[in-house]
Parts: sequence; C-alpha cells; structure tokens
Amino acid sequence: MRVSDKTTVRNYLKYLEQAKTNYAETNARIASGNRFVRISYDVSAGTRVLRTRTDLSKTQEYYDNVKSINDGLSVTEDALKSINDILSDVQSKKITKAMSDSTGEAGRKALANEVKALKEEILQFANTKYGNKYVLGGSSAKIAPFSVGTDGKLLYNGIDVNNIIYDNTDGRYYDKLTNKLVPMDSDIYADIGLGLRMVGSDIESDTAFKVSYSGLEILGFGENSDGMPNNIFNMLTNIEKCMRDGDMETLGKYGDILIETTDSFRALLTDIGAKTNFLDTVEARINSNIDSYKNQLNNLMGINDAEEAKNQTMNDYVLKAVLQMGSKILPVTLMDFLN
Amino acid sequence: MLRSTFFGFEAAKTAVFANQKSLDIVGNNLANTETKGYTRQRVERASIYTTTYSSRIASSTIGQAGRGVETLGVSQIRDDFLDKCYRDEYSLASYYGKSSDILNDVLNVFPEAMDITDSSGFIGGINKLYESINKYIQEPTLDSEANIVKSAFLNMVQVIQRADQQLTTVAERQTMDLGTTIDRVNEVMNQIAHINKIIAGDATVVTDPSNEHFRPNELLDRRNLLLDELAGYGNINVISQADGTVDVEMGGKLVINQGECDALTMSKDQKGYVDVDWRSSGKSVSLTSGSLLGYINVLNGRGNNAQSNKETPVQGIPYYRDRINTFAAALVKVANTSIPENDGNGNPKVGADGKIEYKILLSAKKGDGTTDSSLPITAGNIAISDEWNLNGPGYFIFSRAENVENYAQKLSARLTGESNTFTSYGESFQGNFSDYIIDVVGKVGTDVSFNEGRRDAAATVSDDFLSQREAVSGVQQDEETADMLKYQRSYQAAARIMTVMDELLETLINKIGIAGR
Repeated sequence: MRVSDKTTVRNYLKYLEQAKTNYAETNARIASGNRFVRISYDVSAGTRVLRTRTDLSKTQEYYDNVKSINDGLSVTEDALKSINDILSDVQSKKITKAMSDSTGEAGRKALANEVKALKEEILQFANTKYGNKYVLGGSSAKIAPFSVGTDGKLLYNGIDVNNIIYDNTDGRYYDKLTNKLVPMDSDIYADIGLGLRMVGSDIESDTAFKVSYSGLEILGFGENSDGMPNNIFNMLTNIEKCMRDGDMETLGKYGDILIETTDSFRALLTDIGAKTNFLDTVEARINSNIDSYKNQLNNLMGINDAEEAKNQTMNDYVLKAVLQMGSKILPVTLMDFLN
Repeated sequence: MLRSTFFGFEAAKTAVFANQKSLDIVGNNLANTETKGYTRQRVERASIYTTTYSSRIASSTIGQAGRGVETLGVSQIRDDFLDKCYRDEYSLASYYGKSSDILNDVLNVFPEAMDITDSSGFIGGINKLYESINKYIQEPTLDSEANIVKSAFLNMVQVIQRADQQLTTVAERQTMDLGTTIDRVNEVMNQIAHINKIIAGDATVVTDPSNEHFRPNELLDRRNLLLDELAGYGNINVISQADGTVDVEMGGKLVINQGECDALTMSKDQKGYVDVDWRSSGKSVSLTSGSLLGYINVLNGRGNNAQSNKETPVQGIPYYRDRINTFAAALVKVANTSIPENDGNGNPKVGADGKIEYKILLSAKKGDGTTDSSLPITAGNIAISDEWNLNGPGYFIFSRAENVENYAQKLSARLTGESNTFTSYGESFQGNFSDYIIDVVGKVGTDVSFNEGRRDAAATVSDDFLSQREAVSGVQQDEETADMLKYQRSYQAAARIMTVMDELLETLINKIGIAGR
C-alpha cells in the first residue's frame, strides 16, 4: 500500500492527540475521584446516579426528622416522668397519710395544700413546650392547651375535659355538649421514610410517624360510670376536696382509682420507650440506607484506584512512545540517507 | 536510410528537457507535500511517434526513428470514486457532529446533566423544596420556617427561568451561526462556479478537451477542496462535464451549473423556527446529511410534540423547551392546589362553587412585572406570585394558632413522592418531579451520546476514505526522492548521449580525411 506523507503526519497527530486525551482523562478521573460526571458519557449509570442521589437526599432528611423527633420525645418523656412521680407520690404517700387515723384535720389540710401544689405542677408539666409545640397538647401552637376554668375544673383547649368523649369510629375527640370536635387536637406526623401516603389532606397513620400526643390521652377525659372524673387533674381536685372535707370514703375510692390511673400512666411511659426504641431502629436502618446509597454511588461513578494508577502508568508510557515514534518517523525520508 | 547529421542531438535534447520538467514537477510535489488539497502531479511522456502517413511517397521511417521523448503534459493523479465516498461520509459525519455540538449545548442547560454530582439544577431544586418543607413541618406556624420554603420555591423558579434563558441563548447563538454558515455555503458555491468559468475558458481545455494529460491542476485542486467543504454542509452529487466544469446537486437540486450557482436564504419566524430556502425557487432545502441539516433539525426539532411540517421529529431545542414548560406548569399546578386558604375558624376556605380555595404560591409574570395565575405557565414566565410576595413569607402558613402540617405534608408528597402526569403536546409522562427531570436529562444524554457515537463512526469511515484518497493523490517523499534520482540519472544519460554524439562528429569532422593533407 502506498502511504502518503500527509497520511503519515495526519495519523501520527491523531495518535498523539488520542494519547494526550487519554492522559488528561485519566488525570481528571484521579483528581475528581469520579469515573465520569457528564451524563452522556454513561446515560444508564448517570440516570441511576441521579435517582440514587435523590433517594439519598430524602433519606438524609428522614435522618434529620428522626433526630428531631427523638429530641422532642425526650422532652415528652421528662414531662411524663414528672407527672408520674407526682401521681405515685399522691397515691402512695399523700392519700395513705391522709387516711391514716393519726393524721388530724390540720394534717389533712396541710396534705390538701400539698396536693393542690402538686396539681398545679401537673398542669405546668401538661403544658410543657418544645419549640413551638406543646408536647402533651395536641396541635396548639400559641395558647397553652390546658387551663383551669372558673369552677376549678380542667379545660382542654377551652372545653371541660369531663364533657369530652372519644369517638371510636373516627378516632377523634368531641365535646358531648355541642357534639363538635375538640379544637387544636389534630395529629401531627413526620416523614421518616415509611412511605408516606395521603388520603385527601390526611396522612395515612401507618405511613408516617405520629409526633403529637393528645393531652386527653395523657391526663384522661370524661367521667366514669360513677360520675367521677377520669382526668388526673380533676381527680386531684376532688382528692384535695376530700382531704379538706375529711371525706375518707370518697378519698379511699379515689385512692383505688389513682392506683389504676398510675398503672395506665406508666403504660404511656412504656409507649414512649417503645417509640424511642422504634426510632433507634429506624435511625440505624436509615444510616445503613445512607451507607448503601453512598456505596451504590461509588459503584456507579467512582473510580477503581488501582486500575486508574495502572492506566496512568500506561498512558505515560504510550505518550512517551508516541512522541519518540514522532521523532523517528516524521523527519525521516530517503533524503536523509543520500549524500 | 538517411539520417540528418545532428539527429541524435535532438533526441538527447528532448530527454534533457523532459527530465528537467520532471525534476521541476518532483520539486513541485515536494514543495506541496503538506499543501491542503494538493494532488500529486506527474509528467506524462511518450516516445515521439514517427509516421510517413503525410508523405507523398512511401518511404522507410527508419531514418526518423529514435527522435526522443515527447512531454505530453502534467497530469494529476486522482480517483473520482474515492472523492465521492469521502464526501458522502464526511457529509454524514458533519451532520452528526453539528447535531451533537448543539445538543451538547442543550445538555449544558441542565446542570445535573452536565455534572451528575451537581445540586444546583432541577433535581437539586426539588430536593431543596423537600428539605425546606420538612423543616417547616416541624414548626408550621413560624414565619422563619415559611421563609425557608419560599426561598426554596424561589430557587426552583430561578432554576427553571435560567434553563429557559439558556435554551433561548443556545437557539439564538446557533441560529446566528447557521446564518454565518449559509453565507459561507453561498460563498463556496460562488467560488466553485467561478472556478468552473475559468476552467471552461482555459485555452488548453477549450482547444483540446480530449487531452487528459493536461488540466489546470491547481484550479482543480482548489475546486476539489471547495467541493469537500461543500459536502460538509449538505449532501452533494458532483457531475463532471466535458468542458472541464462540474455540475453540483445539493439535496437532489441542481445548484451549480457551469458558471452559474443558486444561493441559500434563511428566515426565522416568530416562534424562532428557521427556514432555509433556495433563492431561485423559494422552496425549502431538502437534505439528508451535512451540518446544515444538523442545524435545521435541532433548531426546529420538537420530537413527538411536532405540530407542523416546519417542526422536525428530532428532539431538538423546541422539544426540550416543551419539556421544561411542562415541568413549570405541573409545578405551579401542584403548588397552587395544596395549601388552602384559612376560613378563620381553622378550616379550609370553601368558595361559592363549593370548592376549596387554595393559596396562589406561584404564578405567571406579565410584561408589567405583576403576576397572573390565570395565564398559561411557561418556563419563561413562572414566578413567585404577587400574593406570596406582598403578604410576606408567612402567606404559606395555613394557621398561626395551630400546628397544622398536613397540607405542607401533602405538598411535599406531591412534589417528591406522588406520581403526576406531565403532558406536553404529543407525549405524556407519569412519575414524580425528579423522575420527570431524570427522564429529560436521560433523553438529552442519550441524544448526545447517540450523535457523538454516530459522528465518531462516520468520522472514522470518512478518515479511512481520506487515507485511501491520499494513498492515491498524496505526495510520498521517498517516491519523489527516488524519482528525483531517476530523472537526474536520466538527465545525465541524455547529456552523455550528447557527448557521445559530439565525439562521433569529432571523428566525422576532424578525423576523417586526414590522410593526404
């Protein structure tokens, strides 16, 4: 085959350009740690990278949400523990002491005063605020959910808790006098990667984490069949009254009810513990997902260091060889060998 | 047999002249080794033919034999078939090359396509929206958190607007470039026609059109170079004529005929579509390859959304503009139907028609700077609504008294989780916003990758034809050097013949008849 000089030069320049391009590309890959960044280089891997990065970004948000919920839960737990301590104290010490024959009227009044103070403490704990949320108070943001009415009875968002009933069908609380929904008592959810779904504007409860507690759930609501309040605060009001009035029979009844109430209250604390455990599990899973996404990204677009180091050596060798070839091929013609 | 006394000198003289001319051409070939478009030349020679045909009487030609060498002309060595092969493939490579150039510009409009680790594009914008809404959900009554959401929406709006502006810039730049290219095409066609005219008027061609040994080689080289260039702009067919001119068809239309040529004109309509017509007929140019086709296809390419003949089915700039317009419209639809107005009692406000009234978060910007959500939304006019701007970031808050987060959750779910239907003119996509953009950038990435792949393949083939053509027409210095030696020796031999002839005459003139002096 006849090879013209122009072809020799053109081909040589092509080889040189290719060698230099390979050299530069390998260097860029080593410097960036990425096999490629432009999607057209590898569309299939590129689109998977974008999808994985979107998932990673969402998962990192789930992680932040879990952390934030955990912080909120520890505040809730502290408040519940404090209320629980008060209840135990009232039930095991104050009532027992008041019912003891050795405690005189003056002693019972003093105990009644103590119960009154503890009751007010419970009210404060029930209105514990974290950020802009009342942790035991539904969805109210500005006004403390629990307050005391002029008649001394506890109000939840302005409604007498003794008049509140729970509707099993829709899981909501109603004022039995007006048959209206108790206001500011919506559930608040956070997305922690359980596949959040919505029906209309309501979140499907099993697809997100419920971060709110209804105050009614905590302190109790309505009255029992004997017309006695189920609510802790009102109960303590009545206990206080019994102590002042010396009504030992009723005090005894409240003492029994309080034992049950304290038990069910402890169940709430256990529930918080379970939630914390669940969140810990979720957090571990999210962390593992984040690692897995990062690995996936590395597999899709990362470089193999050993391979690139080998490529770099090879490119160096090829470039030098091409340059050397140039010095041999280009100027050499028959002309160089003539005298 | 009779022979003239100085007959041998004449034969040697022809050899001296022929070898001198051959050495001239060797020199010319070596001088033009790297000259673009140069075709190697060669001196055509033949032994001088002796005939008695014109004699009145029959006589022997032996006395006339050995008259020497005749220099017929200087020819160039070229293969028309390889020219055609090269030009066809070069035309194809130019088409894919130009298409991939413009599509690469389109790809750069999407930051996540240019760099898949980038977070400043559409997908980064959606992720920011998700993050900000989730932050807001934790404190859904605070202005500060609502402001984060507004900033994220503003960022998203700016990403969309920037993409729209960049697409416009790409279209304008490429349209301008097409105009310049068309000027060049017209110039090249003019030059070819002009060279045709000179060649046709060349005395040697005119007087002896059958003389294949002498052509205006340098003009042919210039014309071939221009024809190569023209093939890069559009698919051409070159037809050689007896008078040395070439007729050229471009896209099946005769555009150069002897000394005359047609010209291209370009116009742009209000929508930005380009039209490239032949001046003579006013009809659109119809090409199957070449960079002009690349320009037209990508500038007018609307993919499956094509609505008229002017729009090509290639996924070009209008297609990707449709896609981001659809994205903008879908974003506005979701944003403006998620957060209800509050009726004052903590419930969504219901209008006279019984439907919930939603807050207008995003809208279309009008010429006077105000927004109007009833206008069709495009990537060019999408903006934060006046309602949101005038009422402050807290406009996003449903209730300041109650922690109501479910509407924001709904917005977040609709933006990042739930599937939406994105409908353009002819095609529709089902998925969430990130999926949609991944589909778009995947498409532009595939388009670029396909066109680059085809460009490289066609370039390799055209390069191969170029090598084959150079194997025939290119200068080879070793060969020329060998020829140089050959002609030098031949020259020396001819000179030696003269010396021998001189010595013979010396014998004849000075040494014969000495006896008896």
